[in-house]
Amino acid sequence: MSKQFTTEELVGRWEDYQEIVNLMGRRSFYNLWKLEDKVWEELWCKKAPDPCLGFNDGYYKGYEAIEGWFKATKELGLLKARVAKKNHPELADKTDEELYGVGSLTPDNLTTPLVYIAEDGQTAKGMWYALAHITDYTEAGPTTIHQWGWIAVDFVKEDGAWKIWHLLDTPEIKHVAGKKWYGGYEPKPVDPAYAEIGEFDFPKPNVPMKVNELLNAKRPGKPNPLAPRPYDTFANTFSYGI
Amino acid sequence: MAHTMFDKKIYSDAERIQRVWDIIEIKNVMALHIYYHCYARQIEELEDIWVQKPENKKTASFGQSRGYMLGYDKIMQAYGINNLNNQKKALAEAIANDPTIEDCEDNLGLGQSFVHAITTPYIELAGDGQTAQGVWYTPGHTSGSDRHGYMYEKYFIDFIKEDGEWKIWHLFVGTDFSTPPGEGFGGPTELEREKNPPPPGQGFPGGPPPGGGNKEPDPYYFSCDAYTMKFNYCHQKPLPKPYWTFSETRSYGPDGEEGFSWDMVYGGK
Repeated sequence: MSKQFTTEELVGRWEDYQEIVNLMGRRSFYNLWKLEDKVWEELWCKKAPDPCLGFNDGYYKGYEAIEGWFKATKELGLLKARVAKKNHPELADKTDEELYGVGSLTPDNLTTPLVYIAEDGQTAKGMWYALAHITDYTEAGPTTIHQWGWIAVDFVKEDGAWKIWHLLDTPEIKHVAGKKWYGGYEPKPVDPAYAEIGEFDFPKPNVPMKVNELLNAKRPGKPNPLAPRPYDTFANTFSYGI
Repeated sequence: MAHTMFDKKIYSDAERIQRVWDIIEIKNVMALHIYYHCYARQIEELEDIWVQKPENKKTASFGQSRGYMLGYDKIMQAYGINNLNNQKKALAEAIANDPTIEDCEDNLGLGQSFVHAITTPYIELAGDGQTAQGVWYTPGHTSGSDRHGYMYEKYFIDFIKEDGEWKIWHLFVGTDFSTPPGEGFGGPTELEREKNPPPPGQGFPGGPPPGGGNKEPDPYYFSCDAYTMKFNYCHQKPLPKPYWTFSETRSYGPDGEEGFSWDMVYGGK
């Protein structure tokens, strides 16, 4: 990086770096503990323009769309709790809220941190490789899925605190544990006792597009997403949003 | 406030925070290695994050279980250019099988991914701040259309600072196991596989190991049993220890092996 920082500035930038790494760690643990609503409430920006949550099949762009994604995630979790209760009579005395997250273990194991803070200290870019292992109720019943891929994030400082602005979650591997992964995801057969989980009407991205894809013989070799590199101000770098 | 380290130096606050940033920048360099390697962009990797000063290029190395590639030019040829040529060949074959595939740079590495995600960082920055040694564990995967599987390894790396930027100087990767999904870890070790590479098309995607498969004597390849899991922890690299300057520590390059000297390669020049 070309700019020379004073000792005090370097200390402040180290604090920024650590806050960003902790923010992503907090996101991982909130997801693991099924506290997704806290991810939205605490960790996402609330003022910056055009926040984006992207996946391989498109983006949820704007505050309303992203909040809708988090609300749907919560509703799907409550449905899973009800289905679990149906299939496990020993859980009958629990409320849906008490059972929220039952049978779920979803560590995303963020590895390979690559983080750059803008020279102006107002934004930052980071990328991690997630080795996620998702155990949860699905339409096939209790299932363990390995899901690996890059998570790329633009961060913005709002009122002195770092927040997620654009987050791009692009798995390249997704497979039922013990099965092959190349060529796309092969789900387990639907179990009628759990089928209604698969019928949940999860909102689609409001900007549908092919952002990335699971590994297959025709996936381009071009790096995607791009790695962040040092930059001075956000206008002079690329965005993980659209 | 001044702070004493190594019983040799009292660091100022400015030096202490610089040392903190050195560690972060080294982690970023290592993450960039993983990123470039993931997409088989080895030439870009070498030009971006490996040593560029002539004196350091001469002693750069890339080590695996069976030995070391010696010098930047050798690494560029075997790890960089040969891999690019393999990608071009693979793309040509894919197009021959499916003419709808476009012949363009974006499709180099079509359908492939080689991820060695890094965890468990262990980094020692030299007291003089000019070099560093780092170790990571890497759970990963190598995936191509012919075969795919898990690959778990350890990285042992020497870094050196060139004009204020951290660069990879000696990279060693020791493979613990590679196995298809759903299968056990038994069978030959990676060292044994590298000594007896499988026939073309039957190995892991990504082709033979960069230094492996050499049939002819190569003055820029130092062959040795550098790493194996055969007898549990023999031939393992040591963890870095605090050191003042690089001559005080054991290199993760070939000069860390018994019987090697760079004079063997360059005749003392």
